[in-house]
Amino acid sequence: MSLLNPLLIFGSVAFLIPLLIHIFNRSRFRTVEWGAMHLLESVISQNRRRFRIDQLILLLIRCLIPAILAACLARPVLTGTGLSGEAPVGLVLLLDNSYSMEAADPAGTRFSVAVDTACQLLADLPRGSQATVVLSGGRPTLLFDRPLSDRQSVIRRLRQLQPGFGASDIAGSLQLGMEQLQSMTTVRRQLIVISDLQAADWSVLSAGPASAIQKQLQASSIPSELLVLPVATEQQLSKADNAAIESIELPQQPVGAGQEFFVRARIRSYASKDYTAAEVSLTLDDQPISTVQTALKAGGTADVLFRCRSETAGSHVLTVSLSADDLLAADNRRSAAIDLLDSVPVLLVDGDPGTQPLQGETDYLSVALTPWTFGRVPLTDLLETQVVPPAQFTDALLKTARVVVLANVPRLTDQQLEWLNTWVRGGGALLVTAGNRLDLDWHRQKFWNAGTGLLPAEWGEVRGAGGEATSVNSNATGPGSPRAAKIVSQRSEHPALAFFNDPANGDLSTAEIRRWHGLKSAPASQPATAATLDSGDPLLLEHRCGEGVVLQLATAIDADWSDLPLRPFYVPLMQQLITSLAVQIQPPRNVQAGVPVVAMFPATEPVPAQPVPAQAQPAQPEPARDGTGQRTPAEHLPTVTLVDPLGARSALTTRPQGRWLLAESTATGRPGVYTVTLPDGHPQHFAVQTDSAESDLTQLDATRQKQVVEQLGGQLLRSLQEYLESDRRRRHGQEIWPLLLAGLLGLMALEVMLQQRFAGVVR
Amino acid sequence: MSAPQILSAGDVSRLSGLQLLAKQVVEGFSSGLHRSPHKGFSVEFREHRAYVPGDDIRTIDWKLYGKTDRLYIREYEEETNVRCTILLDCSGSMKYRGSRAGGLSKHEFAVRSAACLAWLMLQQQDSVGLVTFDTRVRRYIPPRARPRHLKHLLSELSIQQPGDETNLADVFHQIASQIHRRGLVLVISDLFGDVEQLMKALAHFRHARHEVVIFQIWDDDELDFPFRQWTQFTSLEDANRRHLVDPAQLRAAYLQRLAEYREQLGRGCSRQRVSLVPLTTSQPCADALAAWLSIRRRAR
Repeated sequence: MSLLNPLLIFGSVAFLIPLLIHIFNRSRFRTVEWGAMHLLESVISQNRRRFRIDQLILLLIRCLIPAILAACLARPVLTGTGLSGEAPVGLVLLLDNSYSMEAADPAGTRFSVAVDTACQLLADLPRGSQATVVLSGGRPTLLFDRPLSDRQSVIRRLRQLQPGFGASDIAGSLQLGMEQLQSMTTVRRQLIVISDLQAADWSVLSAGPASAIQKQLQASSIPSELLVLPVATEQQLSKADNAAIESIELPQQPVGAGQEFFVRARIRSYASKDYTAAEVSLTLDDQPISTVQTALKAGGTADVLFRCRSETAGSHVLTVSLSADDLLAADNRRSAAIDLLDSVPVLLVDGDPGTQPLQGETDYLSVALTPWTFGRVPLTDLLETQVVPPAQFTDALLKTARVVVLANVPRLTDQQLEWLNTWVRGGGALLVTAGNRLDLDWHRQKFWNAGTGLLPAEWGEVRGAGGEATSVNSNATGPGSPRAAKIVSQRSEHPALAFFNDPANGDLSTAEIRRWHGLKSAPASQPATAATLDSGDPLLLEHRCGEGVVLQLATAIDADWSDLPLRPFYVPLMQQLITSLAVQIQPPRNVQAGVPVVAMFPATEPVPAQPVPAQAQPAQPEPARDGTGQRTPAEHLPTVTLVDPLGARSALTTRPQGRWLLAESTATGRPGVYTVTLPDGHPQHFAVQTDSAESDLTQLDATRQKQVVEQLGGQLLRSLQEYLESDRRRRHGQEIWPLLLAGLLGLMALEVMLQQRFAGVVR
Repeated sequence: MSAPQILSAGDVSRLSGLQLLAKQVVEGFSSGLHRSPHKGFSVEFREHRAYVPGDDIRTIDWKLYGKTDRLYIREYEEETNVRCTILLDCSGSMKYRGSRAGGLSKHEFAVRSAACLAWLMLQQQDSVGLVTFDTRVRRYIPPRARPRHLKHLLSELSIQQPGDETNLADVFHQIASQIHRRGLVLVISDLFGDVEQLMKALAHFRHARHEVVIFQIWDDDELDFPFRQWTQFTSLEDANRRHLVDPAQLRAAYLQRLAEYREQLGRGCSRQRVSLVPLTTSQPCADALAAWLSIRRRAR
């Protein structure tokens, strides 16, 4: 109970007025000397008691009248929360815009229902209220920097929202909402969560964060409320039939243009019924490739394998679509970006050429790298090799090469070394293999240069069996000869060797390495070890130089020192090695939502090789102020265009990195295909994926819902209408002044009536 | 016969004033100024006599003509002397002076009325006596018909001051035993007292074959109880009896009680064949005369 005009209640002191009047009248009496006392006395004696009671009743009524009038004017309100009237409310709306909200609802989609609900809640706010919106899909984001008092603009923004983000981070968005709530300046604060209470999102909210939020709610000095308003009713979700494409698996190895590759799509059903003929189709850059019909059991998964090829190199988008009758259409499509490589030019510098086939140092390697060409099979090789002797190694060759292999090269001229240095540091990939022709001094002094050169480690002493195999078929590993080393079979994360983590792809440890160099690295630079021999010596070292990478193989690449070329895994190993060198420096094209996409492309004009000064970042293009002569490269850097899944364009500035230019965008909250158009017009596609757990539309069951909401210290609402009504009642309270006024008028009429009756007025 | 009393100057002026007033009233009355339905004196009616031309046309009895279709005139005769005794109540309750009475208390009004009646009757050669009483008889002046007797009566009337309580019944009994010869008894009082006792006393008078006419003097305030604010009513007869009341509460009950009382009196009086004439002090004194005369006429 509270009063709208509390001061007026003091007017009830006016009840004293009739009392005083009564007393005053009694004291101010007339004296009349009366003759007919016998009549008067008989009347008085008979009715004395009645007169007293009547007087008392009238006095009481007369005293009540001003008191009730005062109470009436003070406008008492029966309220629930103790706050009265139209106090402004600070409202934080937590809107679930994960892509499960795109599920169909009888009234549209769940998201449209949620937006309508939110707009209704906003429209119902009292004047002077503040509101802000937290979107929980993907990463929790605020729709506005700070709470707005203009409800109409909030409603407008809400109506423009599109759903389709990733899974909801309920805990994070609740936390963000609580922070926003604290920043409100109103007396009454509410955090209303509008969500479909999906089990996949909400069951992650464990007791710990939930009770932390509850503590926050209770600890704040201004009472705050947390209300949860589900948008989907349970009966709708009992038939939460949904099938989704869970994942697309692309080939792990780089694929070249013209090469056939396989795409595996996994479909998962969250439905309670079987899909007998679900159609799954694959498109490449919107060109249909094939359609497959598959049966999908309730709650089960199905894998579909597509065979695909494209003649054009570059970035392509593969999209798998599922047509099945389900509630959520957003998860029936999934895209992946694939980069089809043009043929990778590899320059093989043969330090020990031979006249016979397979005598040269790089013969085995070139066969391994271009099997189809050698085999004259009408399939395209990804790699293009060019073999040159060291004398013919020139700068011009470097321009077109992506990978350079120095196989058993004794030495290089200083000029050649200079070119190589520049090329590697600018982003080239180099493989150096051992052999018997190595000029160890040159390698040590110039190539390794105590760790500052290109070579990762110094060639140490030769270990293993002495002598070379004279024929390719001799295996000089009879008993009595020094034991050959084997490659330690271990799980490797190196892109070249990760292929062999699967034993079906080959077992590296079957190879016998007869001779190898021990490798000694400088203490200052620690190259990474990709493979080790069981003697403890490293087999393959990796070392980054500037923007490029250098690999050093402790043994020879041909069959002189090992039987690697004779092993069945030699071909894939070499291919992996070279292609991983060629492509590893590209940023990934398929990322998770929220991770920035980075487009990398070669710079078309020469950019100074020295590191870019820190202040010339693309975000702050500033003109040269002090005139020191250092021109900011930003003016010369091209910009690229980014198109997001909704079709919105934005420009990205680039920054140089070695011989490449990078363009980055962090606005990847929305899953879908993002396309960056390079200055030369070629597109680079990026596929932003999201966790497919959101496709499970199952809602929390009723008891669990209550439990979660209780843990949060909030209240679960059943429907919007119910909430609006109870809120109105609570806000406005029950004004009881009409009741009091009716009582007052009744009392006044009663007083008049009683007075007349007591006085016995006879008409 | 009582001893002559020494009159004060005020008494003399009152006396002369009263005398003058009574004279004026009666003369005005008799000369037709007073609005009364009865013209002429009320003298005894003796018989009808056949009309002879030359008689006063005013004396024709038209009612008889209507009945018998013959003209008769009424012949009056001088009434024989009536022995009239005026009983004047001088108890305290007669002191009441209301606001509408023109400044007259009930007693003053009663005195004037008594004076007028006495003058009138003496002019008609009736004998008039006076008894003033409160709890007991104060003064008894036996009836005489001599003109000088009027002065006696008037002086007595003018010096009487009301006071003390009323005890009508005992006084009446007393007076009834004192008046030996039958005659007319005029009671001028407010009759505030026990009705039953009063009726017994009146029965005494009637038993002695007196004709009794009671002029009950009311004040308007007593009749309609107009008081509004809180009032302390103090008894005029006994100063210790006082009541502080809210008159608005009482009014209805009082009026009802008054009506009951008056009805009781009326019934009692009519049973005893006593004429009860209510007079209010706001009326002119001549009304008393008019009322009395009409009674006289009806009686004969």
